[in-house]
Parts: sequence; structure tokens; C-alpha cells
Amino acid sequence: MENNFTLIIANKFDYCIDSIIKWLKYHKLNYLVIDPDKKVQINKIKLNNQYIDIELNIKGKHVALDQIRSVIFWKGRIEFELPAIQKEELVKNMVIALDKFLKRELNTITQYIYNELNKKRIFGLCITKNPNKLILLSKAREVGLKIPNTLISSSDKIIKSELLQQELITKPIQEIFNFRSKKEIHTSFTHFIDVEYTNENKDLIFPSLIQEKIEKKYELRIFYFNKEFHSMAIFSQTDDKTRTDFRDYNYEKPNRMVPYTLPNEIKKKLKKLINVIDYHSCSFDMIVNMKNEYVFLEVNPLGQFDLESVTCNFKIEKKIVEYLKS
Amino acid sequence: MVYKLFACCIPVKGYRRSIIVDTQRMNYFIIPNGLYEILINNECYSPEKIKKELEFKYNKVINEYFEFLLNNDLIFSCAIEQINCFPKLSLKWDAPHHIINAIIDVNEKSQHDYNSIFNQLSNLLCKHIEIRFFNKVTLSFISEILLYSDYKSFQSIDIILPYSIDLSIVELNKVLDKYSRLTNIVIFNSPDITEIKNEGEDKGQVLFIKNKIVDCTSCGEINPSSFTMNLDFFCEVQTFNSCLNRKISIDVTGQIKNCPSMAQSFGNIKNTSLENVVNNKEFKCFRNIKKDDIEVCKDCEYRYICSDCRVYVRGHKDVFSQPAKCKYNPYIAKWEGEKDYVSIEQKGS
Repeated sequence: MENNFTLIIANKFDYCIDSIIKWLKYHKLNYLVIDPDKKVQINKIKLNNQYIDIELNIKGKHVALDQIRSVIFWKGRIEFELPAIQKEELVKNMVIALDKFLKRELNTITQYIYNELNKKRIFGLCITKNPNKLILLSKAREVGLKIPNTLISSSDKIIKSELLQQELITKPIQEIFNFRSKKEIHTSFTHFIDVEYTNENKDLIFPSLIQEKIEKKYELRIFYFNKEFHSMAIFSQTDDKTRTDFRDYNYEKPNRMVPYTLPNEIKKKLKKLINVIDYHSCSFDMIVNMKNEYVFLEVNPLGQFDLESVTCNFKIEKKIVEYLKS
Repeated sequence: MVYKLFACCIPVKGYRRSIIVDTQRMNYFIIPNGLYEILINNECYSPEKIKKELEFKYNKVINEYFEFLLNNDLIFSCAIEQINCFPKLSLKWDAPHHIINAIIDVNEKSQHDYNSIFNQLSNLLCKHIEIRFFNKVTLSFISEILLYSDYKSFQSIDIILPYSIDLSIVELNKVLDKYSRLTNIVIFNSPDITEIKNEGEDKGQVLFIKNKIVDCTSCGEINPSSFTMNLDFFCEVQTFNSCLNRKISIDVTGQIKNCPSMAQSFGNIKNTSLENVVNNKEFKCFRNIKKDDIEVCKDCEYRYICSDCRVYVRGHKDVFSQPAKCKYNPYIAKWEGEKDYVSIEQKGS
């Protein structure tokens, strides 16, 4: 492999990664993608008293640690090519224990490689688990950002009594539920809770998150990268007509989306939060409510940025490549 | 409470009238120059303040203006403290392609090495290619050429060919199925107009048209149907030529040119590399002729949504003169065929 290249650890078919690669090619910069289909062999990880050396074999390409200039961590992971292990003679419980053991062995190796890669110039975030959304929400509150009043409860009664006081929405606590079969697709989005919903008078429900419904002037999509905020306002406060037939409307008359400049006070708070959670780049979802207050909804370390990049002509992909080669 | 223009809606001033280009919904609105002045001279708009400044003489007109702007979703009401939160769009343009669009012309005498041409274009990260056959051609020949287009930088490929009785729709669809980047197959000289759309979302289509494209001189027409209202184009034409920027073409004899209609060749594809041509200063000079530099066009309200032509121009050998096939006179704001139209030659600025 050539020297000074960018290692990309990503999933297949990611629009953001594809557009970054276009700019890498345009600047004739070398890069190598590790996606889930490319299993990695370890030539060597040398830890001795003089130096550290890592050499991986990625589908026939031999990659040494010091050839790598920069790394993009984007929803991918390193997976190793493994030999078949004879387990036929082992008892079932032994197989389970052995698998667990081998998995931990591999994990330690990958974590160590990530640790060394993290010393390079980085875009994205090396994460093995998605950060806990509730912890993030509480940290946003701690830095002084306004958050929506939130309740998690497994009591139907408590939720109903909240509902008497204000309009509520419900959404998944951590991630969107996605189910695809040949016949149907189920996806969970944010939903309003109908005041008159019934639950056959059973009090115990699955623990669910509910939040106050915020009347919004506009939504903000904010992509933070290299100490710069790229913000876009989305005028999604639609009238009744569009609510009933949203898709049709969206096609003919997409919501207005324009560049936005955050007030310094909000930028300061977001920067504080970024420092606390230690992200290189991330995207924020916020709302400006009818009282012109900024309400934090969530932060995503690997949020897609292509929509604001194109709509607001931010050229984020181009800036990322300029950052990676600098 | 005041109003602000959405940043994606951009006013452009012409000699007699102006337009607002809605770069997001890909539309444009004709407005009087009076409204343009109001929009451009203020950060935000208060109808009451504007009426007062005009000493209440134009209240009705001002009301109509704001009704129009609101009805078309061009402005929004903005809290005073948020006026500075809504900046203008950056109009800087760039693209990760050394060549965006390539045209390859073919007739019965052409001897192109398609494998080599496609490889070279792919190295230049070319996004779209258009292959125009002026002679009768078989689908198996087209299929053979397209084999070389696999694993290249091309996002879309258009094929243009003359009508022939042996063209079977089943066979055409097979070609479309096989090459996912094939976007359009246009068949000219057809006895009927037919459009065959494929069911799949990403699949191309076959278009039979009656137009008689005989050679490259049937190019350079300028009319509203060729307007482009998206943001990328709007940004590009602020600095670059709306027809020739990052384009290249190979004519029927293999001559490499800015466009097939141009006389000047930068060498033959048989012995000249496309990369050398792309880096040639003379080849690149047309790219920088923007609409604001072109006579008549620079006074036209349509200049940032309009295509251009640097071959068929009005002034004899004047590269900065208006496209000859333009049918609009911005000094009277009329299209050819409209009542009281006179041409630029009869009535210029």
C-alpha cells in the first residue's frame, strides 16, 4: 500500500462516505476502505522496547501503521479472517465458553488497533457501542441547554395523568426500530399520543419514553466538525392540509431549508457538551420553539450530513478531505 | 415582526424586469424591478415601513407584493432578534470531477477506441457521458461499447441514435436492464413520440422523438424549456460558463474539442490524451466566460438559469457576444412570437 493514505472503516453504501471518497479521488489522495465484506488478517502487531509496529493484510494489501495518515471511523469495524476451529468433540457448554473467550481475545486486539489508529488525524468516531441517549440528554442539561421535559414510565396511570396536563409524544429511547420482511416494513418514528388511547386498563406497560410536545418555529440540523458549526433551519411547521397528506406535499413542495447562524450563547453550550462527550464531529438536532428558545433534542456522533451539505452549499465533504490531508 | 426572504430564493435583476429563482423548488417568478430593489436593499422587510418610506403613495402595490411573496412561500415572518440568524447562501462552486460531462459523436466513418476513451474519462472522474450516433447502429454494437463502461466513474450514460425499423423494444429494455447507469436511450427521427419508462426506480428510459438530429449543428437553442433552476447550476454560472465548464467532446473524426460544434481541435484522440487537453490553458479559457461577461446576457434576468452557446453567437467571431439562437430580448422583456417583439438587432440597449 502507498504511504500517507486515509484508512476508511465504514459500512457499505454510505452516501456521506461515497461523497468523501469522490473528493479524495479528485485530490489524488490514496485511501483504503475496510467494510464488513473485507476481513482483515493480522500480519503482525509488534510491541517491543524500541518501537510499536502494526501490519495488517487487507485483502492482499499489506498496510503498516505508519503508512496511515488519517482515519475515517464511520459506522464500520475491523473484523478478522479466522481459521475454522474444530469443536465437534467438545460438549455444548464448553463450546459456548470457548466462543466467549475467543471473542474477548479478538476484542482486545481490535480495541488496541483502534487505540493506535486514534492517534492519527481522525474524522468520525471510533465506537463499539452507541452512546446512551439518556446519558447524553442529561449531559446536555448539565451544560445549560434546555431539554424537553421527559418521562420514562412503565405505569399507564402515570402517563395518563401526565397526558391530562399537556400534549405528549413518544419515541424510542435509544434507536429507531426497523423491521423488514418480504411483506412489510415497520419503522418507529416519533408519534403523538392520542388523549383517548386505551390500554384495556392494564397498568403495567413496557417502559416507554414520553416527552412534552414542543410547538416549533423551525427545527435545526447542526453538523459540527473541525471547530465549525454548519447549521440548517428546516421550516417543518406544517398546516393541517399537509399533515394529512405529508408525502404528497413533500414531493411537490419540500419544506424550506436554509442556512442558519447559531447565537454565540448556544454555540458555547454546544461546545461545552462536545468537550464533555469528547467527539471530533457530531450532529445535533434542536428545535426553536414559539418563544424563540433553543431546545436540545439529541446529539449523534455519526449523523448524516449530506442533506445540509447539499441544501446549504456547505461543501462539508470537501472540507473533511481538506482537513484529512492537512 | 418582519419578513425575510428564504436564502434559497434569490432575486436576479434584468434590464426591464427581474426574477426570483427558487433554487430549492426549482422554479422562478417574474417580478418588477421595483420589487427587486425593495428585496435587495433591505436585510428584512416591514410592509408598514416600506409604505411609509414611499409616503403611502403605493400602499396597494406594496400589499400585492407581499401577498405574492407569501403565497409563493418566498418569505417568512422572522422575530427581530433572529434576523441575523438567517445568512445568505454561499454561491461558491466546485465539484469533485475534472470533467463533468463528455460527448462522444459517432458516424459510419468513426473509429473510436471506446475502451481507451472510457478509461481516460474515468480517470478524469467524469460524471455523465453522452454517446450520439448519427448513423444507423445495432443494439449489439451499443451493448459491446457499454461493456467497457463497467466499473467506471460514470453516474449516467445517455445514448442517442436514429430510428430504425429493426429496433425492438424488448431488446432495448434488455440493454437498459443490463447497464444500470444507462439513463436515457433517445431515438430521433421516429415516426411517433413514445416514452417507455421502466418500472424499477433506478432504471433508465427509452424515448422516441420526431426531431431530426442530423449532426451537431442542431445544438445551442435557448428557450425557457432549457432553463435550470437548481442551486448547483446557479452557483456554477456565477463564475463559470453555463455550457462549457468542465465539459469535453470527441467529434466523429476523433478530434478533441470543447464542444462538437467548435472548429478548434486540441488534437486527435488517436494520439492525444484527454488529460493533456484538460490541462491545456487554451482549452480551459472558455470555462471562465460567465454570463456576466456576455453582451446582452449580462442585462438579462434569466442569466443564472439559462444555458449558453459559445459557437453560434451573434457578433462575428466575438466570443463575448450573445448566443445567436436566443429568442429573448431583455431590453423589451419579450420572447420571439410575443406581441410587439423586436429582435436585439432592431432594438438593443
